[in-house]
Amino acid sequence: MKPTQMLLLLSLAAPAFALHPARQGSIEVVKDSVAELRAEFDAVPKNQKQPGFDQKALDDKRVELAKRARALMEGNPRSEPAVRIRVWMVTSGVEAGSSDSLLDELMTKDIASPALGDLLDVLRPNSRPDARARVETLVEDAGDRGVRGLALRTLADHVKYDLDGLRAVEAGDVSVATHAKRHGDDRSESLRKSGANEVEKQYVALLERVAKEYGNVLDSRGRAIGPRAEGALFELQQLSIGKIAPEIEAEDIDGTTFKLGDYRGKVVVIDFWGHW
Amino acid sequence: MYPHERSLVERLAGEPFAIVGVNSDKDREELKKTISAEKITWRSFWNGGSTAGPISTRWNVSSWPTIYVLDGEGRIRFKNVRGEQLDASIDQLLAELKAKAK
Repeated sequence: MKPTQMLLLLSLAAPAFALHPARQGSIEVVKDSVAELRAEFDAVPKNQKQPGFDQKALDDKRVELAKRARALMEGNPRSEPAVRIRVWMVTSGVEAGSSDSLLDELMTKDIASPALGDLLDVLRPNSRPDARARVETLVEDAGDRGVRGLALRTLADHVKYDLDGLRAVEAGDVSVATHAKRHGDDRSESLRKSGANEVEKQYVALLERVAKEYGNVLDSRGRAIGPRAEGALFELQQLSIGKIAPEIEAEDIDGTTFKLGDYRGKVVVIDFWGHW
Repeated sequence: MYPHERSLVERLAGEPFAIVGVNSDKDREELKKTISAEKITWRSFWNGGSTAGPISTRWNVSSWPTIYVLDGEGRIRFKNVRGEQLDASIDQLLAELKAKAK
């Protein structure tokens, strides 16, 4: 980076700090508080199965944390720490009834923020009725490349959900009435008109775009989304019913190499397992 | 899953049938203890000590256990069948194998 560019960046980023040195401290407080709020909320038992569950204590904690979160955002609502708090409020559901307005604010005034990536966790298929429309908006409008990548990956998941639903109808496992109930009458009809093969093409195209354009973007668990998109493509093209299983050649638990192909001629159950 | 798999191995002893595991545990030595304690007699690939290992990533496995059932030609015939359905799918494929051999 040239020194002049550096200066320009500094001057863009600096005003809040430079003009109001006293505020710098409060911004740091806000930054620490996201983690603090999250930890406090995570520690409260959320359902009856957890030991120490107390509905009233949970309700009180929700009110208290939401109030603190809003107080923290007040001084500097457009700062990154404040955006992170808003995102946390949506993803944690700490405050009942406010997620629509918080999402609206995040997806307009804060649309450039890299912190929006976590929102995709609450915009999965079959979550909120407006999930897909919001994902499409983020694909188009998010200012941050990582957020756009995660949104595109999530959009692929939505199309996969449509595809699975259509396949179930075509196989006779799900009735048209049930499909219409699940997707809405109009959408169900247009999906059925397109047909599973057409929707599968859309799904493949989205996965290929994720792998090609956003492969190194990390998901909320810190895994690159490219290899997983390639995995989904591989599953679709090589691991569907009727395909010859791809060869596996690897070490066994004791370190001796063997092959899946060694079992040709037998009926084989492959079990992906773990003792946990 | 182990009790069902053990019963499959016992019931189908002598048949052209095998279970092949792909194990994603973290610790090989701990796993060896589990294998002996749970009397797991079938062989497993080592997925590199992680659920994000090379085999499960290539096969796009995101939930455990994931099951594939292959016929004698190595063709994928069933996915994620469990319980009685798993037994029935294996029996169907064994019957196909026998019919072909005749």
